[in-house]
Amino acid sequence: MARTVLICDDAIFMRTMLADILKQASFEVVGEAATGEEAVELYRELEPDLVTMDIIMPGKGGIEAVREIMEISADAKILMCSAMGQQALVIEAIEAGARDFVVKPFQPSRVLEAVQRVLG
Amino acid sequence: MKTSRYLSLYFAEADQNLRELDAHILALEGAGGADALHAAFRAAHNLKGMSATVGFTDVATRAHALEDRLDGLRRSENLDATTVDELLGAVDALRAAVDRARSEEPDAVDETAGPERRIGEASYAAPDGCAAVARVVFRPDTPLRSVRATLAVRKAREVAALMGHAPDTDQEFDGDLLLFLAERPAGTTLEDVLLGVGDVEAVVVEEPAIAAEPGQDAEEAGTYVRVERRHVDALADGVGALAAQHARLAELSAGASEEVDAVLDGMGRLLAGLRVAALGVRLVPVSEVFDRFPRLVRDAAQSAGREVEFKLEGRSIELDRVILDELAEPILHLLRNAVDHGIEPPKEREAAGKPRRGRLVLRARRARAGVAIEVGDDGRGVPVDAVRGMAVEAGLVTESDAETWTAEDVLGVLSRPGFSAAGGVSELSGRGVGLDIVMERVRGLGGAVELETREGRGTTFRLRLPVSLSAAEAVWVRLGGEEYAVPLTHVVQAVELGDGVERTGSRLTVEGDAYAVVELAGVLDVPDVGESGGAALLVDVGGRRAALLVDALLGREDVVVKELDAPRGAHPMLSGVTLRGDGRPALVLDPAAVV
Repeated sequence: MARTVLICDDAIFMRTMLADILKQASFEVVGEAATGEEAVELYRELEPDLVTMDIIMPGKGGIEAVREIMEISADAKILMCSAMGQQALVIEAIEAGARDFVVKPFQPSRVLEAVQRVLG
Repeated sequence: MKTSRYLSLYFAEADQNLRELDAHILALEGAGGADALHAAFRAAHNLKGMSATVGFTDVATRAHALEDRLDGLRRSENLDATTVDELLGAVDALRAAVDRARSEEPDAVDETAGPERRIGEASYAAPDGCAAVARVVFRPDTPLRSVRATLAVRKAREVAALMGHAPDTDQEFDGDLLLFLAERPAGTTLEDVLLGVGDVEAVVVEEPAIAAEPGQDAEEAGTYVRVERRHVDALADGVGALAAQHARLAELSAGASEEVDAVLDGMGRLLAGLRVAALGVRLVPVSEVFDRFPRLVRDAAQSAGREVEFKLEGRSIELDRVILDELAEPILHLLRNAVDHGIEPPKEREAAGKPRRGRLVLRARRARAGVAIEVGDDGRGVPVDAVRGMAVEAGLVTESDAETWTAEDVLGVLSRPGFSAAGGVSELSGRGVGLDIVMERVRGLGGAVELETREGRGTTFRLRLPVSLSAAEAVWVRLGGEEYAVPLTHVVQAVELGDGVERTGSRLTVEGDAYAVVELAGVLDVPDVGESGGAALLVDVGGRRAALLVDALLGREDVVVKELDAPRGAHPMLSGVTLRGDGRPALVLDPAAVV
């Protein structure tokens, strides 16, 4: 059975790019969220194997979403998507329970390496 | 790979947009009017969109501000010289932001040499009772290294008695992470855990460094060791040859067994660490040569009656000692020229509305697969039109050729031996004398010279250089049945023909960019073996771009280059020899000789 992923990012461009990369690695994209609220809601509903989480999103940001998802399931496997220069925020996300991170602009090989680490 | 192709595309387009901005904004002063304003607006708008997409927010923000400014001007009538100056200033700041993005983007970091590292790097103080130090070596292009290091520290803490670490992971840093352990780790658990952190190239457990003697300067105590150069060279060459043998072994035993693969993987990681260390030994910070310039510039300024504010940037960037030594003289020459002829006397500057003190910058930065050294001034710039006129008069170019001149052409003429002296361009431009010698020296080191100049606003010379002479990352190509190595210093991209890469006559079009085709088979006069030109290397030598046609691309690999004692009559493109993994010799090609 294909592993399932929930992609959270407010930019369609980024969601599409991630979806393409993950589909090629035989993931099934079961949901896409554009805000932290949607991310938490969809996680509860879909219980995906993997969540990719942008840090800066409108409304509830990515870090708060990580906290709430970790409360729903302490086993949640969350991969943060960060831009250069967001060191402090990435560390905060990891302290909140995110397992790993990738940095934009995305290189497919790096995304897949990070996904392997998160799921492994 | 795909992303790096996007990035090279991005930078090519960004440079184009910046050039357009310059040109259109300058045209505003003349008869450019509304068309020029609109064209400039579009260039800023494009740059903003692209930069936001690839995540260069600083560039995007600046481009956005400029776009707004230009948009505002569309509704106003008063466009004076001050406004144009301000706009040009904004373009300069934008260009600097693009350059910063360029030097930060992962591909621009040299992957062979690990220029940040040196043995016995910054001495550290291991805490009392520390039994061992685990050195975590990150991939050279690791993004957000501080965060990766934070992860490594957390993971290490789960399996080992960690007493502390260095450097502080709260801030970005270069180089290795050191973990101070209370006990020597048994087995390989710690190493395995750390290698699983991501972006970790090697983990080496070593003895804690001996603390500096009290009262002795820590830097003197541990940072440098004097070693005779031939030992260092032998070490670097040996490691290079060993890496080649390792690659060959991996090739021969491909798929033999998982155990063999695991051993080869382990060897590969160790070799990577060893290579970094071996190359690192030969690297020295540019400050070793740069630091003597401020005094020389001050003296030169005094005797020429100029007021000069001199700045050094990128002092910690490292280069092969041999290259650095060779460069001292050309750099000094460029600095002298800038002081004597580039920067105007204080009164002339005041009359032109510039600050009395001219600015002169000597900057080193990492760029593409090497290092760029720039000498920039805000002086009078090269009067391109005058140089063009003299070149036509001297019969060096025809008038029609001269119409489409670029900065490279100007540089080409200025550096003609004797041209400047004969034509009196030296006084006019302050750039001629000895420039041919500078260019020859830099080319001899496998580099290239670029010129940026704007009349009345200043001149920048950029020397592009490989980090190391002896070891280079190279792409292997096949041509006429033989295999050749081409160092990546000048290579922008390697492409297969077809599928978006189309050749029409003497031009090759790649994603909208045109390159002049150079048929290497013809240039090197190799036998025709019926595999004509299925691939191309896109190269950029000091701003001149070309597509070198080869028969096939064979892959990337590090090579140790031996300089070639070329027999008379040999093609200048054959710049050295190297060994393939199986010990067969192969020739090294230098694109700079044909582009």
